[in-house]
Amino acid sequence: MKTPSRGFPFTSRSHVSLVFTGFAVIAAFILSTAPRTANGSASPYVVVRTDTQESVTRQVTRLNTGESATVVVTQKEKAFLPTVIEIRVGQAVEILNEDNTLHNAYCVSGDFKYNSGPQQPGTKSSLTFTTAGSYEVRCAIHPKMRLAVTVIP
Amino acid sequence: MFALNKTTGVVLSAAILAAIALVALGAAKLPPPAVELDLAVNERFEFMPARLVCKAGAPVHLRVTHRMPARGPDLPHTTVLLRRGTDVDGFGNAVLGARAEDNYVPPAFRAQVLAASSLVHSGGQVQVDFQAPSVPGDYPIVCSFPGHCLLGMKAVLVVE
Repeated sequence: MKTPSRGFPFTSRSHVSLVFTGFAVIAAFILSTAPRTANGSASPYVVVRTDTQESVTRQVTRLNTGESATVVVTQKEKAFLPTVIEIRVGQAVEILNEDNTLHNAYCVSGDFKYNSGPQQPGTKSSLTFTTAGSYEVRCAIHPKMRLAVTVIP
Repeated sequence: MFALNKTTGVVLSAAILAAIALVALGAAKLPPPAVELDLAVNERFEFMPARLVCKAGAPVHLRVTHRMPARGPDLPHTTVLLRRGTDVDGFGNAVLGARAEDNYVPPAFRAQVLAASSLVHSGGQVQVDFQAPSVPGDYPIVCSFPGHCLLGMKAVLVVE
């Protein structure tokens, strides 16, 4: 008498285990590639660490799709990174001091005035632009640090 | 006793009057006594106090003390006395492009500077000696380090 075929050499229980293992591997991969902050914790923010045209384009693309994520700019090695960003009116920009020295972030343009005050290493400040236009954020301690911000409606 | 004739008396009187006039003129030209003023700067981009007072023409010894600790991070400042009526906001914008070797004083505003300190670093102290302007009025004091004036780092020297 012929024994009923079991098909691929796994039982139904081993099929379930295989599926769970697959999910676990995919989840681990996603978590490992998620954006992280300076201290290594997972971040919901868009973190841009390079100053390439690609990173700027990527941000604009995200904005055009309607995302309203906070844009994070780092202060590292006495420079803003990236040095150019485009954001929407009302979208928050977080400035994170990843240097081991004191920084500051300020912007004065017409009636708009922002001053983070002294920003200790590891701390962050946040600013939001309410009017479209071109702005320049600077550091009041390191005059060469500049961040160009284009705010679109 | 002494006997003076009329001519001698007139000459003597004139000489005494001339001497008195010379002394009075000399006294009028004496400058007011020197004054010592203290100004503190800090990490909040402030001058403290924001108002200093001195007499017109008085020699001024202005001590500027940085309140941040010397062993901490550095946040340099300057102290610049400007002529009355100087466009302070214009100065604040112009210093954004100024050079460190110019003490962050933009060339376009060099003629407006009456006195200026060197950079004062955290925990440091500098002294600026100058003669107060002879014309009474309010004279702006600003920090020329880029950005600080725009952030409100201003004071005033009131010359009486």
